[in-house]
Amino acid sequence: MRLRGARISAVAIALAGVMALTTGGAASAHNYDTYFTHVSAPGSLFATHTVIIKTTSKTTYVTNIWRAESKYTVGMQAGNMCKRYHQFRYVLPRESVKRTKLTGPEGCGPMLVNSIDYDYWYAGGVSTGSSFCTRSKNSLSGNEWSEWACVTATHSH
Amino acid sequence: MIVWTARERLAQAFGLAVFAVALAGCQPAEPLAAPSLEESAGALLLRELSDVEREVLADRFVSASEHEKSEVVVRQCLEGYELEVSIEPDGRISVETSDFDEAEVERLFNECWVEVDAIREVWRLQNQPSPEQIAHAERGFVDCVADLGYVNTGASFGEASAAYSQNVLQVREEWDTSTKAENGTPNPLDACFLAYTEAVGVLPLPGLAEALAALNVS
Repeated sequence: MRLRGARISAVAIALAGVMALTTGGAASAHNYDTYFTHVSAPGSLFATHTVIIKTTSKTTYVTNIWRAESKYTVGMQAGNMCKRYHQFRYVLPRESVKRTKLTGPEGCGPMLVNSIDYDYWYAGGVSTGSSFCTRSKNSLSGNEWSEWACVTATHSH
Repeated sequence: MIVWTARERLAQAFGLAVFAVALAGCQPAEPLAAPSLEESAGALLLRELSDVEREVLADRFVSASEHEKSEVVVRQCLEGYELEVSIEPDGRISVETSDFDEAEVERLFNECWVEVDAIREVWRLQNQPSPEQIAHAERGFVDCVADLGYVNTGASFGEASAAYSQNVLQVREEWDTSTKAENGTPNPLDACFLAYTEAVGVLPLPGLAEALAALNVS
């Protein structure tokens, strides 16, 4: 069982020329697998949203997620970020109904150019073949949700 | 998969660095300027108060017990919709459910949240970091970035911010695809930033102090 990172490329044009924002993918590690997907997000130039999944172990049978992160990268702006929402979407093992976890806004945080605001969750198991997704919105994104960024739980062994 | 040559990646990094330096240099991490009292986020928050908010904010002060009460109120409201409520490590409230779609969960959350959001935000205002705490946090960030070699010791916060902004994307990408990322630790440069934000803490809504001072709930 393993998670397969989806890949979405976002390309933006800047004064300095054409630059690729992101390419997502899966990273292999000794004891854990890390998967992530970047998607473009509302807000400033180069704002992105990322889902990062870290599995508990490469040898774990079930699709166990040790830690999931919902991460908003602010891109080319700085200032206070308020009204920070993060939302997770997932399917529990042996279930077919989507579940959702929403963290609400409270207070503000200082942001630098390219800095991040993130929420994390020790999620546990998810259903085989399901998508684990996150999205975010905040005052720097114009209070608009990002697209869902997802990784898919699939069989590999 | 897009494969970039070293030359292309260098051009990308250079272009990004130009933007990062330009923007970090002219936009330090300070609260966004509130255009006016009436339009500030704080003023908007206090424009319409729930009954419990009016009661608590009559003296323009939120006590610890009143803050706890706000949590009870929002929890009861959310659980009334059979949403599972939990409190995040930073005190924020989250909900979990399988009974509604994402938009409906957000609508229900906000319906309950507006009952107490003014209390919660005023509590944040009362517990905001002091100028000394912020200065200490900024000093820590500069020292952290200097220790990594991106600026000289004694650099300003603006210089360290610019160095962070122009280098962090590349550092983040390399870290996220390396074995070092497997235990969940952030890359060293983001660790500097996260330590800074943790030291600063949660900041209040812009304009909230002024709006609270002008609040009349009679």
